[in-house]
Amino acid sequence: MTWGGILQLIGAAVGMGLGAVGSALAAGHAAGSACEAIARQPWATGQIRKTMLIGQGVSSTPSIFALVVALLVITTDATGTTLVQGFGYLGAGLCIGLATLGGGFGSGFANATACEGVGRHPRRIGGVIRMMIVGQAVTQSASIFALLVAFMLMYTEGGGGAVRAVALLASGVCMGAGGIGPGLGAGLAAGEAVRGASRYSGCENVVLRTMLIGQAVAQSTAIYSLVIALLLIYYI
Amino acid sequence: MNDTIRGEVAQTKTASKKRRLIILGGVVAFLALEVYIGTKGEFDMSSVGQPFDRLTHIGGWQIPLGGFAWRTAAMSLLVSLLLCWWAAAATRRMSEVPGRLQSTAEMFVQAFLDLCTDTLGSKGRAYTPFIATIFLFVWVSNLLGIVPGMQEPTRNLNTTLGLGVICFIIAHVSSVRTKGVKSYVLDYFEPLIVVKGVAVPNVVMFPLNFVGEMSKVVSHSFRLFGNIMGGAIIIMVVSNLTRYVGLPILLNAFFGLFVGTVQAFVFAMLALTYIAVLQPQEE
Repeated sequence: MTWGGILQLIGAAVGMGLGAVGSALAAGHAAGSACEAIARQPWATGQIRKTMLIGQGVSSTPSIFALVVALLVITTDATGTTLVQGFGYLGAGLCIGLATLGGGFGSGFANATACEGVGRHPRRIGGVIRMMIVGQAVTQSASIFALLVAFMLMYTEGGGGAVRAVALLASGVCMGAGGIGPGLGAGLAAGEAVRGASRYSGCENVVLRTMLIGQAVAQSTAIYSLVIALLLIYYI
Repeated sequence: MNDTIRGEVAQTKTASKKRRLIILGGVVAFLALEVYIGTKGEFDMSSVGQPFDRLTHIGGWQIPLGGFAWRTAAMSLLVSLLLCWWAAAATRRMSEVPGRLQSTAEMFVQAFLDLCTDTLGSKGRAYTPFIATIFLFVWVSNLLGIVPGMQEPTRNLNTTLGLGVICFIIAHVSSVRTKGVKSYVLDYFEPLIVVKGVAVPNVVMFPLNFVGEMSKVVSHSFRLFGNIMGGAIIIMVVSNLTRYVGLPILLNAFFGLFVGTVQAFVFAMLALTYIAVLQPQEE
């Protein structure tokens, strides 16, 4: 086994290990909020539980991405991996693992406030779930950029020297670390938007619009990271 | 009087019994087919490392843009044909008292009409067919993976990217049509800076807004692709480990039915939201 192969397997481990953290925390956060809401309104248990399960399904998306990357890295033959490719795989693992920390945990905020809001006004469940799903989906954009970079790192060509190897690793770290903050920030925006829309009626459209604009600004830093990561892959 | 009621009750009872038998038979046949396919073919794990059908050679010609994925194209056509058949069957004999197919279709159309008018106001009606079609196509595509031997067209990145580009073009063209070119272009320079009481376009914001708009397409299509391909790969690997006994059915229920439905709804909702955000704000 080459050093490249060793780095490849470590990359898969790091990717899935870190990638499991965020979504799990989000699911627990939402479940706690749902328990509290059910204790307050036991007769709305069905609606609250439905909201919780749908939200947890959406917030597990980032860790599914991490699982995909880890499985693809493991099932690629590791015997002939060059050192540069090995660093690419390690970078891909770090990239998806770190970025899903933010995206996974961030999408739990909207789920938690949605459970709370449905507990207060069970009749508004349709609008609240819609707002929650859109908010969570946009929160995960940074994780999706990380998936893109991880794919590029995995299927990169194996040539080049030490500089290229380090550039691939740096690219992974850049997009991964750059994905943590935008995920958390956009998640905060989604959480408060869902809270507002569930409490006061007739403001959904303005809230949705403002939430999307705010999330876009919060995610512009993830786009800076994406640009630098792509430059590191293709110009060094 | 009583006899006729009793007769009707007995009839519905036998009918429901028959339906139950049919459903049970279908489930048993499904399981048998899945186990049969699982034990029959030797599982090829090497295909897992290659996420897309990449290149096809047709008569010595190598087609650029990654080649032509026969399987994905056939599956998308199958989905389209299924939807056409459903639409034709639901509207063939329309009546005041709707039948089963017609009332399903009516409920569906009404739900999407409400959704679009909630988000877009009076203009929502014009966008309902588009959003409902996008939802139906993605949903049926995602569910197709449950059937043994079939493959979701949405597992291929080219399908989802194509859908994402369609949504992008529709959102921007409708924005230009309602706002006018000047107001549309000025939106890329938001927020405007005020110099001596006059609002001036902020040139610094242009790259940011432009890349932000472009990244919507990427995130929109990669989200669907990542989820569906992730589910497919997980089912593939677990099926290989357990030889298609028991567990893959639960996984099919989770990734095919639950994640497939939720992601189809997310895709349609985001398409609707992207259209709505680019429209002028109603005061």
